[in-house]
Amino acid sequence: MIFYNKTDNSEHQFTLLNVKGVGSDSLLYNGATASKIYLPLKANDDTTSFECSYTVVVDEATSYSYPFNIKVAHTPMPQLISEECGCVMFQTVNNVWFEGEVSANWEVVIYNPNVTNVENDIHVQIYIP
Amino acid sequence: MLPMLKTTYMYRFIFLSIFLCLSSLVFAQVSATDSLQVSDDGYVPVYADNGDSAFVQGVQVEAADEEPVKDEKAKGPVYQGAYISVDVFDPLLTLFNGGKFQFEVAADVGLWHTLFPVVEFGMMYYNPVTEAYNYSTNGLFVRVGAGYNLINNTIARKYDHAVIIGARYAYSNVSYTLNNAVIHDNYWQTDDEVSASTRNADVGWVEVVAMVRVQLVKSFFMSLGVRVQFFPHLYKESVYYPTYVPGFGQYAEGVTNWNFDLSFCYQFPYKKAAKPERNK
Repeated sequence: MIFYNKTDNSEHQFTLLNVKGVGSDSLLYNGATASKIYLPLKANDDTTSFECSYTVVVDEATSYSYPFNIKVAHTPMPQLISEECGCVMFQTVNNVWFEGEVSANWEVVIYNPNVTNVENDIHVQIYIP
Repeated sequence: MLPMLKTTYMYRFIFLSIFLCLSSLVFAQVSATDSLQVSDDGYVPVYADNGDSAFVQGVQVEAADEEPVKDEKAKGPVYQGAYISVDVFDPLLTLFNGGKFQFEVAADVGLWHTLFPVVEFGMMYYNPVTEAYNYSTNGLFVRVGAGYNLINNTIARKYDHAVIIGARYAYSNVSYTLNNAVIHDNYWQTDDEVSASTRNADVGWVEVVAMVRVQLVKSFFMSLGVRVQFFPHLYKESVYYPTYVPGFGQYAEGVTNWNFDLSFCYQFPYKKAAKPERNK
């Protein structure tokens, strides 16, 4: 998933970004600065949710935190790669949407719905006004 | 990316085809009867005839016909036998490869004992079961193509021995099912057991084949061959694909496979029909 500024199509950098899967105790991103995030989809479910927040620091005394949720509707399908490599889960991304005030106007483009065994592949583009 | 890859493999295929055609031109066929003087009793002079030298006894060439072959008839009749072959290599391999059973038969026709149009047909069944998955696949395949015989001398024609290089286009229809696949997820800390419904796929690929076929006894042959299989492609583009393809083996985009054949072959008689005409 990659975030763009809609005004000039440049990559939108989030600061102090936290991302955690709903139902998991582990953080995927912890205070990161990033414009791309890679989210693991559940193998035996058709919707996966993530809790996110980023923080904008104005000065040493002032900062604002913006929480939002990402929800991904997907269809899992197992694929046997080979006897040696075993099975992996391919996914088809059906829909992506956001919950939270800050993300109300974000535009979602499903660039490549097929999530296969390719590392660092981009599937969803988000345009932020 | 995908179209670029396919274009690359298409260029590779075109290049190999041109290479095979050029190879065919380079391997000029020289009949033994063209290059050697065969005496009436079938003996060949080893060194130049200087008037007093004799034919060296013991070096004997068995002529295809009792009469010398004339240039215009050097290649003989167009039809020079039809062959039906049964591969035994893959059935034997079933004992060692975890139960992947594959069986194939082939039919080809000898034209001038040089060109061999061929059709091959086979099937495969494979059901590997491990703790991590239960995969079942079966299907049919057909290959069509032609071979070019690199040896066409008198002995080869007498016994119909052949060293053949050729090309095939192959098609396979395969259905496959993945059950009880255990997927471990490090982040979600889950071990899910999932299954997929039966899928069907049409797969094509290209082969270059090299084969040696020798006569064991009259009308019965044995052949040993090697296949280089490349440019595998799904007829209907999909992210899901069959892991094993009948006639091809393990599938992956852009993969090149090597396969071997050991076949026993029956040649339908054809020379017997020609003999009465010669006796007239």
